Amino acid sequence: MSIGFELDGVGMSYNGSVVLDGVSLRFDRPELVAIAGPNGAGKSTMLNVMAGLRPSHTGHCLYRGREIRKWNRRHFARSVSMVPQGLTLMFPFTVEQVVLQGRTPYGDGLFESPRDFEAVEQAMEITESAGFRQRDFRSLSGGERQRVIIASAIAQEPESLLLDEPTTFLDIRHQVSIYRLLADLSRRGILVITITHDLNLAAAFADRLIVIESGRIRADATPGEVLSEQMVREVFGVSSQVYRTAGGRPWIVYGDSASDR
Amino acid sequence: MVIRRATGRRVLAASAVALGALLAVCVAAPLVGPASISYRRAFAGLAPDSQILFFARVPRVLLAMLAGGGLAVAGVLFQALLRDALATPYTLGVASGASLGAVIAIVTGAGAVAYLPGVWGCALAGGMLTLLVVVGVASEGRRLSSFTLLLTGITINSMCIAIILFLQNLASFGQSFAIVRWLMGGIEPVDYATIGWLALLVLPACGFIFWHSRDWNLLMVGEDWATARGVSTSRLMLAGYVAGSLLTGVITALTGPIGFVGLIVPHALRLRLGADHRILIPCSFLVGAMFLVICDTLARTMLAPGEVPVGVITAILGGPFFVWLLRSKRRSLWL
Repeated sequence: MSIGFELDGVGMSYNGSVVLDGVSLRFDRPELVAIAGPNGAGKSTMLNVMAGLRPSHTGHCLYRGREIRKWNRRHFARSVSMVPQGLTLMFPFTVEQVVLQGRTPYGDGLFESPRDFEAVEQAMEITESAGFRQRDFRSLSGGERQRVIIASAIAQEPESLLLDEPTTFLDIRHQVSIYRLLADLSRRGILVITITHDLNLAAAFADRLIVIESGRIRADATPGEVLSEQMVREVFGVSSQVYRTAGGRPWIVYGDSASDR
Repeated sequence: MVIRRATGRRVLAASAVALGALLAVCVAAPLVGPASISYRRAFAGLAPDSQILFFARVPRVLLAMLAGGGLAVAGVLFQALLRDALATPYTLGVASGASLGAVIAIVTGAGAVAYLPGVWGCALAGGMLTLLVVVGVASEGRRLSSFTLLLTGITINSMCIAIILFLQNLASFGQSFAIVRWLMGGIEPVDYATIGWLALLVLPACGFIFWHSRDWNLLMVGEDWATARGVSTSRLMLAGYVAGSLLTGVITALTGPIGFVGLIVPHALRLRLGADHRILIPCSFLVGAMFLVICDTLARTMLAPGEVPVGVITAILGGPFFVWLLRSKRRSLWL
């Protein structure tokens, strides 16, 4: 039995405009995958299809050999968890209550079990969010919120973790610490797929980089193979220079150095 | 004390406190009134204490309990489902539909045969019809759009009110008075069979809503958030709207629209107890019940032997309290 996702000709359109156009991909081992592409390229839509949130797509999207639309939602939620892009709460939930919501697919009754609290404790420890567990979620900074949301997804104890731009509002220290965390989770046997706009972070940490352009897969390989001056120019419309770090990872400097001076 | 982690024991403890307060109010409330009565004489079957207690005051307390509790729970639920702090049981227009039904019954004299039951029946039919229309307009395939639901509800609200005003223009003087009286909301002494039927609808609906507390917690964060955590979102939201509207409809049919209970009780409790529905829902029922029993007791004693409509009392008592809450706790409400 294959683990992970198989996408076969997945398409999606909103009100007649095509957002995803025949995407075929396989994810069959635990690794850290970064997905990049211009705004509106279809990254979030693809992730939402994989999370089972957009069942009206065309083509086939399978998880562990089974069409995601046909999965029992609770069972699927025990295998795949999703970190959405930003989260606005209207009501006074504490940090711990938000993380506890990750345990929903495991409980049948009204209350959490000791095992649930154990998982929550661990998730908050991993994400360094235990320090503000009793604070109102709305009083947190953007970076703290993001760690709490990731903690909630980790508390779900998934085999696969999908993240939609998890580092958007974070300072550099927290951006790096989140990517370290994601790389660490992938080494522990979790398939981690994250959308990012930061090609350098992806290059530094991801095992695999997928570039989406206008709803199609433009590139899918290691960051070293994918990132080139030509690709950055053609997909993002920006001139750049790609260097190599001492570790052999690519490093991009944006802007045409000749005309910048 | 803000309850930060909902465990079975804490839910029981918080509910026990609220239940104790409710029981104390319910025992005291029937004794208050223009005619002074005693439980001893009433239980001994002595007139007029017995008649006043069992046929005038106790039914009112019971009706106020069920109405207040049901409206507060419906308010909690609608605020969660619509993710809107200003949502009330009346946001979807169910109560306006019920009011329109009642007004039609008053104007056409459907009540001439059997006055009150005619009004109740038409109000109930009006409320349920409104629910069907609102849900029908807002459903996109199997999904319900909260945004469309909200706008449809507001539109239906305005339309019903417009038709009510039009009908009131056509109505006779006596009918017009009856209409205004109905629209202000009031607790009337009803027979025990009616209270029994109401309890049979209100209590299971509240039980259903309580049982799904954890799901409302997730839905309050977001639909995708809940779906990604294994909740069957669209089915549950539809069930929630139906349960909340049923509560609102049956209660409004009996009492008319009583404002503020469904808005201030949930918010006041959220400030004290946090947003977790496992604690919020049982406490809202008990405190909502207590609030309306107190308001109704004031309504029938303030200008005794005359009566003030209870909807006026809840707004006059509730309004300033709510404004005070908004001022003093603005930061934790974040409105």
